Amino acid sequence: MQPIINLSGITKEYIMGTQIVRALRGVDIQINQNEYVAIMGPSGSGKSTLMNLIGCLDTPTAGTYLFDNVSVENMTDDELAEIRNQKIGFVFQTFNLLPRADALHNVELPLIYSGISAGDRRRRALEALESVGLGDRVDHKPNELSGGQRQRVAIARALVNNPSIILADEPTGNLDTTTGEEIMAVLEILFQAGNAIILVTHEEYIAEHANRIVRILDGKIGSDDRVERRRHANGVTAAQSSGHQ
Amino acid sequence: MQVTRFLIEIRESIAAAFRALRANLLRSILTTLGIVVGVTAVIAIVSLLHGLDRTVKREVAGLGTNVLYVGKYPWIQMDDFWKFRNRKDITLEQGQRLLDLVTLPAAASLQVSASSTVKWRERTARSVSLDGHTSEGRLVHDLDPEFGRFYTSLEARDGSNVIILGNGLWRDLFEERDPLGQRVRVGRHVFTVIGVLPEQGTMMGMDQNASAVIPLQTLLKLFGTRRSMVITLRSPDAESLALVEDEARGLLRRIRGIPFGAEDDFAINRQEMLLDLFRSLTAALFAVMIGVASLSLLVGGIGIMNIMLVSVTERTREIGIRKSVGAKRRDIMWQFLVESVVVSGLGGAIGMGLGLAIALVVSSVTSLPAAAPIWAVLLGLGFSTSVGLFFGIYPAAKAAGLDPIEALRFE
Ligand SMILES: Nc1ncnc2c1ncn2[C@@H]1O[C@H](COP(=O)(O)OP(=O)(O)OP(=O)(O)O)[C@@H](O)[C@H]1O
Ligand SMILES: [Mg+2]
Repeated sequence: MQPIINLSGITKEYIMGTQIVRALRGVDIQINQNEYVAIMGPSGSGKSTLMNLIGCLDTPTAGTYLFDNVSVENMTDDELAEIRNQKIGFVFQTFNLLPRADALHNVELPLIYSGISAGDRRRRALEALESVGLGDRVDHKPNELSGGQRQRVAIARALVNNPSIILADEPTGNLDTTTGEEIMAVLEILFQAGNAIILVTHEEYIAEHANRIVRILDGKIGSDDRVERRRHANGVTAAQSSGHQ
Repeated sequence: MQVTRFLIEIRESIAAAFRALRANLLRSILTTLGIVVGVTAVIAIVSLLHGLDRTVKREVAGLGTNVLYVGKYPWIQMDDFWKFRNRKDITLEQGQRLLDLVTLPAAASLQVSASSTVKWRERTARSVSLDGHTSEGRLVHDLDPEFGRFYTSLEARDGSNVIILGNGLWRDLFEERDPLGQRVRVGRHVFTVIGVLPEQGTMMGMDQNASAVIPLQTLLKLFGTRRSMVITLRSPDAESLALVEDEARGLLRRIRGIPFGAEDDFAINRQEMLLDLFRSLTAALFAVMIGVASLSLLVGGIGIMNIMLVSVTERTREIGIRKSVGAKRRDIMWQFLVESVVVSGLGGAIGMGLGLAIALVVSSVTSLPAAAPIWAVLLGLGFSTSVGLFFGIYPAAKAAGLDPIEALRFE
């Protein structure tokens, strides 16, 4: 099986005045379509930097990156935008929803930029919102939603364009344990549906959802282990769990 | 596919622009102040000038394109009024001799005017302008009655008491009853109504409909002969106008005994002079308007650019979010361009409303007509949106060029 993500010798440097910050110092990693990867490591070790590179939000200083066998490190901004739009779903720690737009519009956003007609857009966005258990909150603005609900809107947005891979950078970082569990349950469904998931977390119990744990230390991969999934998000579906709130 | 995609993205741009506008309504309106002022000035001035232009053209047209008015006073007096006043009157004899000698005009007549009351039964019209014409006046001034007849050359020579009423005067006195053959009192004298002129416009501020025409001889006989004549000459066509003028000038100089090399002591007027004067006045006003408008549009444009830069900074995160889900450069570019065009177009629309309102108010107060030509409306909208487009480019390009990660991280 071809890895969907193939990084080799990736480095990322930031120039701060006279100082060079080496956020990544040579990372090699392959990730397959059926993997659920947890990336862990101390603060400042380069996890977010790596996620941004994988998510085509940023380009490496050196090294090669094949996404789905296509080299992306020399792509233009617009070509990267196309990949983000079609192939990648991003979930951020801080949700990153448009504050003035309602849930439905937020979820429609990626579809707008792939030129999908209004009717289809609405239908697919509603479907996505229902699949994360927010069918009854479609016209709420972000500030009218709880943190967990906001993150589920963000997940609906990430999955609405059927990406090959979901990237989640500390998706539960701003949420309490129970709400965090609900988010993990939604991701579980996505994983079962065949999406590759890459997740950054500081919490061991969150990482236990993954079948592979990558530890980053000082911009390098410290360890990379395939593990038995010790934790499966409880059999409760997202739709049911929203009813408990 | 490309086109539908483009349309979908533009729709989103417009929707996003309006969301942003609603969120900052007051600020958006204040921003457009410069544009509002600019467009208001353009629309108000253009509407008034346009209305004025039409009136002046219509009134001046009443003078006849190919007609020369030879008299004591020039219509446009750049010099001292007393100089013209001190000129000797053009006497009836001088006028008559000129008419006998000219060969080039298609028609020529003499005229003087007086003012009097006109009464029929218990109805009175005051300060009616009485125009005394020789019988050729009908040809020179197109004075064919709508009904009834013009006076004959016999009546004209004898100075008969016959009168042709202007359309409005007839309505006032007779309330549309048949006036033909009726006797009216003009001052102390009794006249027989023989015709009614067709509806006419005003001419140089005077309502032609309220005037009446009587034979020149009658006017001189009843209202006094000490008046300066106006000789009117109709040229057969526009090309011969200058020849007709030269002939009349040469003859009248001889008749009035002006030595060689001395200045004319009369003036030859024509419609064209008034139009020229009016054109140069409007050109000056237009120049002022263009100055005011471009200055305020420039100020407005800079205001828009400023507020758009603020808007881009405020919405850096939004830009990051849009980019992270796949918005391309041109999507962001469009979004902010549309926003700035919408803001400035809004200002243009407000300015247009204000400008029209001002024009209407001015016209109702001063009786100047106001009419906004469609090109002025399009110009106002076109200008304001172009200003938005032009001054929106830099902020929009700045937004489009933002790095997604830095934009997302922006606090
Ligand atoms: N834009 C930037 N400019 C300069 N330095 C940066 C920039 N982004 C990241 N860094 C540096 O790169 C290193 C890695 O940062 P990164 O955000 O990837 O860490 P992280 O592992 O995600 O940490 P955390 O767990 O706290 O989120 C840090 O030392 C950080 O200071
Ligand atoms: Mg991080």
